[in-house]
Amino acid sequence: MVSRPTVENAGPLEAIEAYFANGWTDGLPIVPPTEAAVREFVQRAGRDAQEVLLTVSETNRQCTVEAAAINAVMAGCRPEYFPVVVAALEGWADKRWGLGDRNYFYISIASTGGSGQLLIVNGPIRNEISMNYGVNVFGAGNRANATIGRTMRLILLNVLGMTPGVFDMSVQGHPGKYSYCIAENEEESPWEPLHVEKGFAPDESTVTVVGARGPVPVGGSGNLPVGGAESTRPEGVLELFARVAKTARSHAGTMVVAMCPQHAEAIAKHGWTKRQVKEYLFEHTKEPLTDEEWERVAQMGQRRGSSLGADKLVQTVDGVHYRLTFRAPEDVLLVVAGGNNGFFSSVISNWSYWIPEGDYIIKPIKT
Amino acid sequence: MHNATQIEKRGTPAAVICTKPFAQTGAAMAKRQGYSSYRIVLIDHPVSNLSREQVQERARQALPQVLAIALGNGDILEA
Repeated sequence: MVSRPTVENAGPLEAIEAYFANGWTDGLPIVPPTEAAVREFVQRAGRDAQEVLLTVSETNRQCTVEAAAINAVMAGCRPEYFPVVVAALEGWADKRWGLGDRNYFYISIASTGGSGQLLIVNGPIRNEISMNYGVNVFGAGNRANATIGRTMRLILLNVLGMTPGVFDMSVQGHPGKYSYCIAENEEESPWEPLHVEKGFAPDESTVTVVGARGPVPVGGSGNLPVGGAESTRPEGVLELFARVAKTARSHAGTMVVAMCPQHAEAIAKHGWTKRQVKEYLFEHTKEPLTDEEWERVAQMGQRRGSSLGADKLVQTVDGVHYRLTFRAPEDVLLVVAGGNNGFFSSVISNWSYWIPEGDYIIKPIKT
Repeated sequence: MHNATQIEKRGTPAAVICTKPFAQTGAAMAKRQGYSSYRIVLIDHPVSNLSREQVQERARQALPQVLAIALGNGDILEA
């Protein structure tokens, strides 16, 4: 009897090539998932291996704890990262995504709009697993950020069957579809961090999930309104964010504003709170519409139905029709991220991430 | 496609209309739902940026195929 090749008895290069041959990768080499490694990850989660964490009915697939663990090993995670993955999967399974219509989770991955799945980690686990929330926060170089984000993509590809060109029909996609995981720079933020804002204790850890397009840059020497105004007037800083947010917006309301510590400090030193920042961006990202645009937006609202809140993205004041970027101030999902070494931030519009206003999908990480 | 297969499973015929670049997606999803060769109405791409008149033209393109499925002509399903 010829024994079946396994990752245990194959050489690592042979195993890696076998995974490529089967299409079980994101295009990069994987770590061969031995049974012992997978078992350790499952134990770390403290969950039953066969517990189903997520079901995607469109592809008729489910993700169990064990399947998630296999992909976490493949992505290069350490076992102590795995609770973040489990909590993020619970976020993906949340019924608020799509305001009760779970099709929207599938659409957020499959749609031509090309979104990735962003994770934002808060709380003590950021430091316990040495995540990067400072310089180059969206970039390469940190194992936890890179491999947790990669795990989520491998789960979409290998477990949930979201094959590019078949089920994932993104016109362009974006680099965050390899890995899209950051942590908030709580240490250099002048404001309460995201999880505390949403009612968690500072010593709790959480992960927030967002169906998200790529980061769109805010700031840089080419688009400062007035050189000195940036640091002397909160409105000067926020006008930059408002301009970019208006062009980056999607059809839905929630947008991540990933503000660098210097931009945040330039605003907060004038006593501005997070709430004030959100209100300013809500008010200053409204655009008057032409009659032709109004007609089209109205048609879109009718087609999508008010249950998804599309009707809240238009507003009529004194006979003038406005298109809104946010449904309400709470749609501004404000976090501080990046290095304290320059004025460079990002806004990230969501895609098919219809959730209740201000009710971000944020899950506790159980370690 | 997902909705259509759910409707079919309740015994009501459905017609799925895809633009041509999504033919493979539709077929793959039907297969995942247990239909190995689900018939899909194909129309030209795109749709989202068309005028009302152009959308009506797409509908005229789809109509004979939709009727054929609704009237049970042709091999529609293999569950």
